[in-house]
Amino acid sequence: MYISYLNLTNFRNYSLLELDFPKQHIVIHGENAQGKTNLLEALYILSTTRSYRTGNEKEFIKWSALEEPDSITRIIGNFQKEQGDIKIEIDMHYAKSEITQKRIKVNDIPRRASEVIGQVNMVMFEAQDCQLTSGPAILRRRYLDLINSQIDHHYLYSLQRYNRVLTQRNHLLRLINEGQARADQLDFWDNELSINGVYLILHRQQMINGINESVRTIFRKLSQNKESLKLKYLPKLKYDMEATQKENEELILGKFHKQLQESRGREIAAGLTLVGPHRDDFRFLVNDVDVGIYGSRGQQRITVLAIKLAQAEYSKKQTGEYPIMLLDDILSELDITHRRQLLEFVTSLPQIILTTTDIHTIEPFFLEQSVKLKVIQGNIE
Amino acid sequence: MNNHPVQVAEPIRKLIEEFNKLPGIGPKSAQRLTYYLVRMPEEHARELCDSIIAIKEKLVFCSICQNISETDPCAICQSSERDHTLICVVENPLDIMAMERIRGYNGLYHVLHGVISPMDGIGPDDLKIERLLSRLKTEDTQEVILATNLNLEGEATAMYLQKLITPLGIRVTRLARGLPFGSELEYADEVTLTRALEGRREI
Ligand SMILES: [Zn+2]
Repeated sequence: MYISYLNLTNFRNYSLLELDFPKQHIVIHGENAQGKTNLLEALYILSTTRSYRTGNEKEFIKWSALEEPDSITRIIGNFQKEQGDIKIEIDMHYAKSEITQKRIKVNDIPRRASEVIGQVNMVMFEAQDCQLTSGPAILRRRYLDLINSQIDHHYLYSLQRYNRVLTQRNHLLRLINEGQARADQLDFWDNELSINGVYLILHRQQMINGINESVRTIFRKLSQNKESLKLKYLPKLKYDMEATQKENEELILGKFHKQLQESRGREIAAGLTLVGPHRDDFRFLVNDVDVGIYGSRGQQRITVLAIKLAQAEYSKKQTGEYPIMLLDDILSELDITHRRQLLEFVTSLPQIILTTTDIHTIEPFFLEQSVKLKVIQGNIE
Repeated sequence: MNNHPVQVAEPIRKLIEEFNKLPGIGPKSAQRLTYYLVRMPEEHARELCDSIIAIKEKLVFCSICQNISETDPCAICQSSERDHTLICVVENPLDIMAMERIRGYNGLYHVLHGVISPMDGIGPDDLKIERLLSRLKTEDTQEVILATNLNLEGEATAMYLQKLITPLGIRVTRLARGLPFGSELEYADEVTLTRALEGRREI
């Protein structure tokens, strides 16, 4: 998959930007705070409809355009996929510094956000990602959920439904606790929680198995001392991972119901759902040791790098197409050997878009295959 | 809207404010509608005004089906042309309009005025469920069609009703086929709705 065209209007520090891209890697370079990351962010938003940097979409609006009467922030991207070209457009209308309407179009037809996810897949790697190994479990769940949602539309559907059930169920538990509802009203929500939850659990396991297939080789190449990296899934509901999917489906469903029954009293007292995949975690094991707890910063960084590369392989395997890889100022964090290894590794992928403050940190062999864009204060040279 | 320039005439400012309170109407639409009305001939404005007053003064809730009506009982509940053994349960009066548009349905209705949604503090007791049950005990109902929306809350409500109605020995069916998951009756097109009605299934 490639991006062939990008158009930004009043986005971050870009008033108006129009770029055509050839089928090549792209190196975006320039001083700090010129707008390099903003470009990657815009691409990421086209892929997921949301930013990885902020949940406050007001920040997208170009600061100096806030007071302009014709108030729109817009991102348009054209992509070349094997099944044909695709155009994604995200319009955000605003008034009085607030976003009043967000519209998403695919090939000029209005779509919901959930219909856009999976159309154009990207793998983002930025400095913050190192927290994936050592940070709170919610970061890892979000990561799992994003990958699975991009390759499996039913996963996204189940996830959205699961989250809605969770909200409704937690409210109902509180109402029961306060004597304003009866416990038998839980039955419907318990059933929905377990049906959608089982789908999430099984597909999280499937994805982790899939990633594990390629991450071992990738990590061995990146870690000169031939260490072995493995992802380990820690579902809240324990089950036999060796059993077949069909067996597990029934098994987990049964366990889910049993545990919901057993913990009903505690759940009502807490006003909170205590059982289910919203409390799952997964860990990164290097030679069977948790790298998030015992690993060095450098080891954690290489671990996440290996995972992201394995993610690209997994995505290709599941969807038939490599995602676009976005690397935000990653090279400066790596030593020369790893930098070279990373570039050698990714050079065979269809399209890498990376940012750097110092173009000289990039190996000549990679630069030769890349378009170089210099960013100066929201303009491209 | 308090930061409108002071030179805007008071009646205009007031009307913009009123429009802005309506669902789906933002500040810009409110302004557009107001200035449109300013240019409107006076008799049109009066007609509009009378229609708004009329829905407050002339409408009541039908004591049988809970639909909004000019009479009590409503025209549908009173009609001898309609099949009184069939009751279609809907979330709100707009759903009745959607069902009536397709002309394929000739039974009665029951409006719940909402759906079960714990996060909004709405439980079964907040809906017109007791009224429905007492209807089923006194009327000669053979089938209840549950036509709540196909989202979680609509399904939760349908499931709840099914558990109450089945023991009464009445056939309970659900609109399903053709309607996409998460879809709302109110916005369904006529062909889809007709198919969903014909393909209704026992639950
Ligand atoms: Zn009536």
